[in-house]
Amino acid sequence: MTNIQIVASIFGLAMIYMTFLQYKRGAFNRYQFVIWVVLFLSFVIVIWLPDKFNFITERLGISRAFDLFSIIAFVIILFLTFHNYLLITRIEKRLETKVREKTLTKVDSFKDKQQ
Amino acid sequence: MKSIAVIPAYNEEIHLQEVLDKVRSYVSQVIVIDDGSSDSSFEIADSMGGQVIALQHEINLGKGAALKTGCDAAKKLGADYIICMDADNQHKPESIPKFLDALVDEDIDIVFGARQFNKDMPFMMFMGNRVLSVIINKLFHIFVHDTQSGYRAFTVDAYDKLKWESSGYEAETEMIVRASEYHLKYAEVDIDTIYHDDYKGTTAIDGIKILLQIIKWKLL
Repeated sequence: MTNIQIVASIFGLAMIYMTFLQYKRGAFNRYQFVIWVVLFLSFVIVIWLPDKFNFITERLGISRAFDLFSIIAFVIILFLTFHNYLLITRIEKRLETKVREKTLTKVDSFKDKQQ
Repeated sequence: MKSIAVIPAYNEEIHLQEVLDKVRSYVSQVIVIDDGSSDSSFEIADSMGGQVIALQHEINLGKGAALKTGCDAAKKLGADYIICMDADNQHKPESIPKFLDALVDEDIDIVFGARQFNKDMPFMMFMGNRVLSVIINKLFHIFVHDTQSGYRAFTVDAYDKLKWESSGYEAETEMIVRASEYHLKYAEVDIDTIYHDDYKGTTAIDGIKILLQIIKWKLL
């Protein structure tokens, strides 16, 4: 057992607990809960049993299971960053439209006073 | 001829009263858009009454969004000419007639206020402004000396073409880019360089954001 395996396991288990907490609080639905648990569980499994994934790494021409894991993690991070960016941009735009519309409705009362 | 001054304000309780007192004698109406301030900016504007109209964004959206709300309101209220100014007393209202003269007498679509680049302007601001002017000129073939000055005026017809998407400080640069795209007639008038606050306004990070936006506008 190496130190990195211990640290990674603590992180993985902590994230599973956080996911469970968010599920119980209603922030995640069952589908989201399962997806995230599977993801963090896979992380812990790969950390503890890297040799079990040799059949995949050999086919892909990657020397170690941990390299494969790093590549997959990087792809997931890139995807999530892109997804979050889109989501935030969309929410920002909607919020701006709503706030501005609400503000502009007040102009009509000034317009009536003017006439 | 109806001219309306649009003043976006974010936590400007120190200067706002003085700005409004001076501005209202030069225009038909003044619209203050409080952009979600946590101080009493809105209350100050609202208490002015008369020709000062106070509007409020419930949350802080950014200068570009506040300006857009103000200009939309001015259009609704039947403005012929819109003058955009900052709320921090950087812009002398005495210059408003110069802007209006250019719009009315010279049939100009948009007039940009240009601060003199002297010792009163912080060095970073001076450099950033110069770099942006050159880049905008190279990419969009329009040269504006002071790209970041918020003191500008345009006709309501021009506003329909200028209407920007940016909600932050990039809005002022987007106006220049759109003025170039629509071949609007533009002019510049000299305004004084006044800085009251070293920490407010655009930062180096805003400058980088503006630069990235310029590249995006050129490519997309």
